[in-house]
Amino acid sequence: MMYKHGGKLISVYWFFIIFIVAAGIIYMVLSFYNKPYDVRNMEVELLIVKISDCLSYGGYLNDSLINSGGHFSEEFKENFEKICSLNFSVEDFSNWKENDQFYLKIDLFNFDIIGEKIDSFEQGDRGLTTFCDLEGEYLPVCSKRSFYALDKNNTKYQIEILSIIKKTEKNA
Amino acid sequence: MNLNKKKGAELLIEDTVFIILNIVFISLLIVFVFSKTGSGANLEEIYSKKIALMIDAAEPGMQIYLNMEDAIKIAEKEKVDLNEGVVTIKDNIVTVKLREKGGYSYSFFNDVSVRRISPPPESENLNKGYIFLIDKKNDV
Repeated sequence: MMYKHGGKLISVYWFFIIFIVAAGIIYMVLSFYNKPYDVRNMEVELLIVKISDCLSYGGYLNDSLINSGGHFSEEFKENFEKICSLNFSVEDFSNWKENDQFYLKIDLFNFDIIGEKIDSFEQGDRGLTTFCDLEGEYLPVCSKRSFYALDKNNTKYQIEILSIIKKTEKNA
Repeated sequence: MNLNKKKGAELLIEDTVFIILNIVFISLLIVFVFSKTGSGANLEEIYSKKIALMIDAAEPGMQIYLNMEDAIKIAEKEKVDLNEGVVTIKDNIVTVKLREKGGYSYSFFNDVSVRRISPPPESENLNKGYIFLIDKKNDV
């Protein structure tokens, strides 16, 4: 009689524990699979590579885009997207079309005089740069890369590209 | 003697019911976990982003085959048209749809022309993936 009642009591506790474990597993599975996959790190690097390939080839600057003084040509500044085969249009999601989801800044420096900036070009929402030094979730992803190149007169330049992608609603 | 036998039978029934309930409970849990891992919604997001990144990294002249066997199986089960519905690319937006009322879109920044075609009928990859043809964009 005692064992019978004790056995029923144990099975109630047993199922209570199983329910708690199951609830934990379900919560972990849902929180993992409901979180979107963040591909922006890869996307931002691909963007920098694309722009680098547009600006220089084989270690030499594209002289139709950057003149011999190290300044961006007017044609480059006005038709940047078309020249570098870029399209920053985004899908109609969460006001993305009204707010720029990208920001780019390309700086040209004098290689021989450290820190001397010759020219700069930017496109997109400059306000995204404020998030680059912050840490946390739901923030844009930033990446800055630099490389060296020569112009046709063998003048050396350092090119620095800052690329920022927002798209937080589908990645964070 | 009969009383002992009766108690033994009751215990056996209780234990059996207990074990069966445990098995049913754990089975339901496993079914739930597996349903989440291979769900259509999940795969829609994965493949739309995968294809967008693939196009971003591509150059004109490339032909890229992407195996989407798991996604296509779900699309077939949901009766989505494999030729028109599963992967659509309009302007610079990729949309992957594996469910009748589903779909996930993601944009790519590489300004190229992309055509999605199915592998030829004689290919062993038929109904397992798609070929993406990357070309320069023609200015209209």
